[in-house]
Amino acid sequence: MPRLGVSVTEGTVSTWLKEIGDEVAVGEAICEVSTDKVDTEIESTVAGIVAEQRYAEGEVVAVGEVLAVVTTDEDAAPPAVPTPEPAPVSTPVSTPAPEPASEAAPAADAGDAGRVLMPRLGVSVTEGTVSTWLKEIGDEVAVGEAICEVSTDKVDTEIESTVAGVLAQQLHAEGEVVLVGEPLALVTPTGAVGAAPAAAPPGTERVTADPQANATAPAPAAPAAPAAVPGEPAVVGSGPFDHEAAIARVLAGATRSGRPAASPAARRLATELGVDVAQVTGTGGGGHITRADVQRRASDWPESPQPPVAAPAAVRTAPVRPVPEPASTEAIFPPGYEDVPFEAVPTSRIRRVTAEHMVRSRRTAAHMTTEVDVDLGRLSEVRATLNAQRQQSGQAKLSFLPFIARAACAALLDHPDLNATFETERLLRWREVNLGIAVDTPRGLMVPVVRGAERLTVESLGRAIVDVAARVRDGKADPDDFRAGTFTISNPGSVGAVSAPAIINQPQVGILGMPTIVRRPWVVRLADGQETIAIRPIIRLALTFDHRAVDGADATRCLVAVRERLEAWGVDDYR
Amino acid sequence: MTTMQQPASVTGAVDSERITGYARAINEALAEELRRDERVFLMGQDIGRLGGVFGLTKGLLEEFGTERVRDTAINETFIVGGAAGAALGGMVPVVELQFADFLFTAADEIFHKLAKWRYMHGGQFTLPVVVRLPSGVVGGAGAEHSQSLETIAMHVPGLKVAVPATPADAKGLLKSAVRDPDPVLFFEHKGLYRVKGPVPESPDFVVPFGSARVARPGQDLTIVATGLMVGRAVEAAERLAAEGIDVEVIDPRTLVPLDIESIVASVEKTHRLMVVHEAARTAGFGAEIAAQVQERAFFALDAPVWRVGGSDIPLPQDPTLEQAAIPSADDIVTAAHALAAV
Repeated sequence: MPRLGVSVTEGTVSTWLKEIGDEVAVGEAICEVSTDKVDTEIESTVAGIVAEQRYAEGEVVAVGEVLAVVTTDEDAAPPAVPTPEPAPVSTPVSTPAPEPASEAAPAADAGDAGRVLMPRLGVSVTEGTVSTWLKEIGDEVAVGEAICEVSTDKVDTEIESTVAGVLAQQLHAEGEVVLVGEPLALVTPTGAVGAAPAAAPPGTERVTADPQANATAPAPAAPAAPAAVPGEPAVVGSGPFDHEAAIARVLAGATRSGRPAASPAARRLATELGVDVAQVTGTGGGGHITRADVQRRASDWPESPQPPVAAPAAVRTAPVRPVPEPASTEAIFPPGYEDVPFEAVPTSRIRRVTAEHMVRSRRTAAHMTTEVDVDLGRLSEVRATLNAQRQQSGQAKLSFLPFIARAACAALLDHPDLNATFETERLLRWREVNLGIAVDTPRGLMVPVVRGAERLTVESLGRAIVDVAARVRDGKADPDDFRAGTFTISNPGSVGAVSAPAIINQPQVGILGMPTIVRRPWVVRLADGQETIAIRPIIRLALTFDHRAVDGADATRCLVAVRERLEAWGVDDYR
Repeated sequence: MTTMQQPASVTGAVDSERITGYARAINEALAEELRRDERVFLMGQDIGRLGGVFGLTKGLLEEFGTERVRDTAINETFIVGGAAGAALGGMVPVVELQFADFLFTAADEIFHKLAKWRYMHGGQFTLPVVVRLPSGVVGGAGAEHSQSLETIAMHVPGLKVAVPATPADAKGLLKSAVRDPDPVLFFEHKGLYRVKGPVPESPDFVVPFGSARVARPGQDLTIVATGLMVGRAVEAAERLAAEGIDVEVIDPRTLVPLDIESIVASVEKTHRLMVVHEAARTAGFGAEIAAQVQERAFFALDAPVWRVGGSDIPLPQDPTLEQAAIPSADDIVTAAHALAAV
């Protein structure tokens, strides 16, 4: 039973989600618990089979009590080692050390003598930042008295001492991040720093399992019994080495350096063949470039000198499982279709690159789409006026695309998290809007980029889009035309789609989908406050975003900002 | 290189019609060398009347007498120290420690006297001593009687290290070891003593040091393995072949000197390398081979050099757990599958 809040000492088991005999993984919910503050699911800290439910539904459980017993697999693998990483295992040192493995309780509840540990501040909270120390070294503290403030991504809270005495050590400075279960402070009877508990590194020691033991052993600083302090066990591996996990780690780091990931042999071959690895799409594990990819690039290059749409993106994006080689149709011929007549059409390079990119993006980003209906009635009139002026001066008409693009650029300046690249540890907010425009060409989908789109007026943006799209259609675009996109607009409305969720163009965070404009019966408010139904041109804009990087409310606020700009457009706006 | 292109020493073994066990081949090599050179003598605990704790020296006392087949006390320090002294006096001692693990008991004699004295004394003499070291896991001998310590021997300059995997290599390498002017640590795998294979009858048959054997030719992945692991690697290779992964298995046969040229040549063909050893994965000879290969052939590599080794634990005594702690053919297949994802 974890701590579910600083002042929560107990909870009631409301529902068992796992029955005896069920398999559970680490992090899987095993039961629901309600407290006076929250109702929550309790996640298993152990993988295995549920062997025992210690409490019936409706029973009250104190924090720190064992809720359930989960046994590991049939033949008694070492218990306290849930991960394949080499883990500390007790070795037979000369002292009769209590074995770490013998204590199933999580570190936060173990009650190390004199140590105040970082409690669990929520089921999914794994760490917190010390914001302020409320007790200084030398201050007396009582059990339950706040010693410091900690902020997490969910809450800011005070941490109460679990030990009475004098604060002897603040083990973390203000601003430092502390993992759940790590010691925050050392409280001793006199405020002196005893040799035993303070010297050992965090996480390994279990001096005594029970805070009351302080009473029976009141002198932790006494030099009398150094032999009773358990040594740190030697690190030995338990169980077999996990080759799959190790390879997965290698692949996960394939693109970590930010440059094209290529095997050494592929790099040598690329040098020999004069191929720029930055222009090669990797199909190996983790998206790394193999010798075959270099070969293919070398043989494809002369016929179609266009850089592939996704090549620059492939360099920086998160790794995924290997994409199958396109070659062998026989090997993957769908079973059961052997007697169906068919025609085998070789896929183009652009098709393969697109396929790889789409799958990679789907696997990389947490796609979510938010939609708003935009009444383009007012903008239609503005556009008609503008186009009439342009026609008089011999200029081409503007489509709706540059208006929506212009409104999007303006909204992105106010919502920079959507004009960004998400890298887990950090979000790169790009300081310019480099707008990708999805272009449907006879050879396939291409996404050229208009650099610095946020600086362009609606008319120059319209011209830039037309120019770059023409270059792409004519095969005259160069690699720079496909580089450094920060946000993308896709326009399936041009062929009649009425809704437009899209796949994010990696490594971006958002893509705005423009479906077709539909004339709809629409409730409008008249000048006198009355409502009536009118026929209005409505477009249902769809913003697909990476939920890893931004939340739905923020993304929707950005999209609503686009709508507001479009609905309020005056004839001289953005000129 | 020579081995790769002209595997003469491989066919030398395969040519033989005669099938003999690994233990018998060692016994035969000892007898032939005792007959060939009267300076050669054997020393060790229970090697005379008992014929050795594993029976490797059976019959030798009867043929060569107690002067040349000498029983000793339980005293590895004396056994190896005595051998060092005898070598200085012009003899060619071949000593047996009952378990390779006991080289720690004779550590000063092995790593200091044998390994260093030729060099410390300006090359005035050599120390032609062979230390036979029954090695590896054999079925519940426990953590102090089951280790694979060849890497430790490899790390101390001045020693040669042989790790035969077949009966022919056991015989041919042991004969080379006896004829070598320098100290050789000869790691015989206890789990291979009963394995049978073709062994040439000729007393002139030797296997030179520093020449790897291609145990199985292949195109897609090179596996370097020694001792008990060679057979498991070949078994894994046969299974992987059924899936279209063509594995080349290379047995270096001696770790000092190491035929890195043959390994590099194979990697330049397959572009992938896995090293399999029974010893704990951490800091085993796999790490050394991986380092040397990337130093020499980095740009030939398609994937990380991979190691499949024993678990980093004191070996358990239970025979089932013990097997679980060292690589099986299944483990090698699993690792090869994982590596194929790169």
